[in-house]
Amino acid sequence: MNQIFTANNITLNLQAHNKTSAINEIVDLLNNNNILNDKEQYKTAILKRELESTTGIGFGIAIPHAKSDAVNQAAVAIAVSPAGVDFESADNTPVKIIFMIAVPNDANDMHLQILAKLSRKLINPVFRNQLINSQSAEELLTYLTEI
Amino acid sequence: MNKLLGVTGCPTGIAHTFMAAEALQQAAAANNAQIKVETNGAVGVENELTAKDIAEADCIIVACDKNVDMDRFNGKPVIEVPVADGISKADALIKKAISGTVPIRGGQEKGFLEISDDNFNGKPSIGHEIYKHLMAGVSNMIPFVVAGGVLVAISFLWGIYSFDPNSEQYNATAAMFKAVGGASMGLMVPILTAYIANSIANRPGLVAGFVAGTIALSTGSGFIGGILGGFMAGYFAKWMVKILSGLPKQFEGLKSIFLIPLVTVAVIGIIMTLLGSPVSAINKFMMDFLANLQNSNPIFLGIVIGCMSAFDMGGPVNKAAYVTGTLLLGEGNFYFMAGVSAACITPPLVIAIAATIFPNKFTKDERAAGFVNYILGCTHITEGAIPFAAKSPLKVLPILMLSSSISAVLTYMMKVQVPAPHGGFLILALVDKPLTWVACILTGSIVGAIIYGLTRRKPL
Repeated sequence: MNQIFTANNITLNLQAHNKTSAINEIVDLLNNNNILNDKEQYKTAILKRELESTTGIGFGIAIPHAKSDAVNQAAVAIAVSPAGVDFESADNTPVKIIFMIAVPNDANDMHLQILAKLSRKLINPVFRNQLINSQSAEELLTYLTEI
Repeated sequence: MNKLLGVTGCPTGIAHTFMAAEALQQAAAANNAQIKVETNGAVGVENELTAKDIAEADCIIVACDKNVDMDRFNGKPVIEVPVADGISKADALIKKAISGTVPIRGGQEKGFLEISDDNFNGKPSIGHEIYKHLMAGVSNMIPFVVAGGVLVAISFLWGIYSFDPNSEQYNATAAMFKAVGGASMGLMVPILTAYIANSIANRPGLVAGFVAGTIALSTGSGFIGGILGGFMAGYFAKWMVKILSGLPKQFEGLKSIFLIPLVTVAVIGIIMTLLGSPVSAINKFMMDFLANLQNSNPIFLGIVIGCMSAFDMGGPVNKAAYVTGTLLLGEGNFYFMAGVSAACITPPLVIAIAATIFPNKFTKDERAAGFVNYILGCTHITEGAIPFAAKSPLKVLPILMLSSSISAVLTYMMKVQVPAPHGGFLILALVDKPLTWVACILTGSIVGAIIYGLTRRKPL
């Protein structure tokens, strides 16, 4: 039902340990899968949002996001970091899972509604743990399709 | 159960807006509170708060990294935090919101009559602005009047001339009470003026406002001069800040502690001094006019005051009568306030007495609320009658206006003196003819209660 989440935009083994390199790594992932048409422009938009306030909202989650013309189609990259990333989070805890949201400027409401629902579900600790402890991209996707 | 409201939003409006909304809803449920959350997301504003929601809310939590309309929350307890706090600290925010310790957001609360109008979305009118600033001044002034008025009145317990060393009644303690009370009363005009200006222009207005108020006091232009000075000082300071906003940052300190105070105080001070004698003549004329009216035409004055006080119960019209009474109190006129107080005390008593003598015309809940109105009435809280009036205003308000008018007219005819601007029957000891005054108020209240009770239909 939702093309926003696909297995090739998921990595269970994020290499980066700090915020900047984590963002670079995930932006590359999105770029390699043809989600973006202008990598730098998208990254600038992501960093601009981070400057306003960190999207590391605590509980080991970060949701960097941008709405930009540089995006071809709405997608969410999911990166799990077993070691944890210092994302300058509100609660200073290392981030275990990063959802990087890419939305084109002309995104339709359905995509935005799905993201809103995902955001609401992430508050649930059971759901978060399921995601973080997924053994494969496919397993992770099954939790997301329930949205 | 506590009724809370939330507003969430982030600049992109894709993720955090909704996470914060969800977190607040869950935390509210866990803390046994009700919450409605407005989301300012990329899809626009959803679940928008209505004026009614806001009026009924106990506290509002705004977790936003983008600008949302905040003025609609004036007069309500408001917590403002970044959207991330709405997500990670939702539980703490809800606990704080229901603790009842959240400070009230500044600005004038929308009055009772405005809240009932859900379509009221327009920009505040000029009249409303002026009213808001005037009330900011008045509400800062009232505590000084209450403290001062009651202390002065206490000194009168030793005799009306007990402060005068040359009088036989002289008593050192009484003289001290009168001096302390007098000091507090003496600050009335400067405080009123300063806080009108402060409401318009914040700190820059305060300085010129205080000076203008002090000049109004010393030149005898009194309250009229003070109100005039407050608005001049406020708008002038606001204008100064605006035209100086182009100055380079390095001059910021110089501007706020030197330039603006110096120029505003000089300009407003000189204008106030020049206006002193003409305005004091107007002030004197008005005070004399009102004082004459209460002697020559107590019935007319009583009807006007009664109708004003009961018309919107705590709203702008009621306040206009109340403020006039307070101002005259500062001028040493204790008669005028007696009528205003009587008119303000009457509406809740009408409700309370009606619920007592016509119990079968009221539901159980209404009888309980009616009983509370005895307490509210005796302590000068007119607002107690609002829920009853709101049910059928066209029928109830005229009855309340009639009863308040009767109370006020009788009070003026009996020439009762009430030296304190608030407190209802708690300050009875300070009233010169306490029993007469209570009788005047009860007469109006009982007449009103009988009419109200007879015109009510039995509840189903």
